[in-house]
Amino acid sequence: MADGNGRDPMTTRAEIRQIIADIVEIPPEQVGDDTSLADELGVDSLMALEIVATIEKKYRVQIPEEKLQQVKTLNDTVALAQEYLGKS
Amino acid sequence: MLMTPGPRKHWSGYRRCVVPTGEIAARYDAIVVGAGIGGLVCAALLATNGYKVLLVEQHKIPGGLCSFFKRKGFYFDAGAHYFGGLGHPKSFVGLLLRQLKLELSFIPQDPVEILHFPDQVLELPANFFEYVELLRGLFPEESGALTVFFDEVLRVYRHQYRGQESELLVRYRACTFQDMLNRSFSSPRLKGILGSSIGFVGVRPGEVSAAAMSAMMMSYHYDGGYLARGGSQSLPDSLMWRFKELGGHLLLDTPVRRLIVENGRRVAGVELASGQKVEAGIVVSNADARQTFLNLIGEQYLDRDYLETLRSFRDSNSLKVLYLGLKCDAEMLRAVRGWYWDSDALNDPANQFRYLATPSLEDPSLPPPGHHILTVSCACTEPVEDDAEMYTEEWSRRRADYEAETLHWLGGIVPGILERVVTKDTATRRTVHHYTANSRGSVYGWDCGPGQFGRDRLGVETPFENLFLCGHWVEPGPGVASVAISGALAARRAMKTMEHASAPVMVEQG
Repeated sequence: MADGNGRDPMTTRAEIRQIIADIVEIPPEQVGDDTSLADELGVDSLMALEIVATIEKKYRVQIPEEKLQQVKTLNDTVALAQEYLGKS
Repeated sequence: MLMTPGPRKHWSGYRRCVVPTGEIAARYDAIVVGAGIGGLVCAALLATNGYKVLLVEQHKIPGGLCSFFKRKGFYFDAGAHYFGGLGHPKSFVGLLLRQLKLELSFIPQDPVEILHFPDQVLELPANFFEYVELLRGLFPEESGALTVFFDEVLRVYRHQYRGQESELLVRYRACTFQDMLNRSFSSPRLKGILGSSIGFVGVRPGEVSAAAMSAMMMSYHYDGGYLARGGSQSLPDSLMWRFKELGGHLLLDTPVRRLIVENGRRVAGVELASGQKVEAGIVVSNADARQTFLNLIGEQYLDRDYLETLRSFRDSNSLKVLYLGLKCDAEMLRAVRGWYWDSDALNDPANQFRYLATPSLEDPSLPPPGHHILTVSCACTEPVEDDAEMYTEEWSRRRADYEAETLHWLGGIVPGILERVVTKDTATRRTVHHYTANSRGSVYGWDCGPGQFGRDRLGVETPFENLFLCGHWVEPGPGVASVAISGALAARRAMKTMEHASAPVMVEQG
């Protein structure tokens, strides 16, 4: 099933899981949908920024910096990305 | 980034920025020696945090290698002109600059690079994922290897700017970039493409550490390549004006004669060329590291090990640059910028890169109306025994030969261009030495071979408890983004030493 952008939401989720895993340097399986990025995976503010910057490059979108606080779990991050993917 | 300054709004104001001799204080919290980008960032960060800072520069203008000169109405970038990562608001160094609230804007370049081989011209897209896709399309049989390769170089880049030491960095600092390419790929052309921007680190793929090349490559390919609007001098100028706004004191055209040592383990301040002595709680040197210790301090104060380390480093290459002011339209220069190589054999000494820059296509404020700027750079590898050799007639003759040879080559690349030249000039090691006082005019500090990059360079801390270093002789390495980070590292350590509890203005690292 594709979203309004012609992109499969499951693919987007898998891609963002991989982006987080690459930045934290762990296998993607360890990034659960509701795993706390900060508490369980040690994502600090710089890594959160790297995650958002990578999503921006990969999907050619602009995400305002104040949205960084929303990067708390994979679910939140996917929701954030979807919000801007729809706009592009 | 923030507001866009008018073209060269600042460039006539250096004298207004300098502190009058009578107002130089007897004592500062910190004195920074050298107003290169590292020294400027360090001084501005210290001033931001409320410290009383004196910044002393020997040259007439700030910036070091990131500087300009003017000929017949053309504003030429003398050295550094194309910056990896600096203009990206979410890159590590982009964040650092933003926190300084500079009046400065950047122009992103897309394509990020253009590669010119005799049989192929490639425009590399600025978007990292498109760039990798382009390579996958060109080399489908290496597609899997490309994924693994870029995962590795990206990890190296991240570890490098996060300032964390890691097994990965240790491994890639110890091997050459060519080793990494050979392990990953079989196509000579693909290896040629990936190594083509090697001029930005100064040595060939077979000589440069894989970590240095990975970090440099990714700063452009991942975070983007940028020109500073108004020319590269806008970067040091905006730092200088911010420093002044924050109450910092600046001296230009003022050499430091020596650093005053106290009890053998501390520096008490500096003595200026005029003989005036100024005390300081801490001193940061952005000057050539070897000169800092051997000329400004004196080897009698150094232990044997540190002296040995200092002497063991190999200097980097220098650059030769031909600067041309042209009466022509933009069409003549369209898509000529980028790297020119004779073949994929980048380690062949006969295969010398040339790099063409056309900044006025993006920034029309640099030349007079109806004119354009073209610069041609290449490595200056001819060895010199000492600084004096660069000031001989023989050297002047070699400079003239280089100019004639480069013009001849250029005539073949851009037909009709030689008739359009309004003004020209050529820089060599000697010019670099003149601007920066770097030994033998080297442009990247120590060369970036295995054992000389990142943590293998000097640290920002020194054997003197209140003396710190910044610039391309120390970690993380050469390039404007890296030296800016070194300035921030030096500021952070210096502030710790000064025991003022205020938090450093830096990206939090966890």
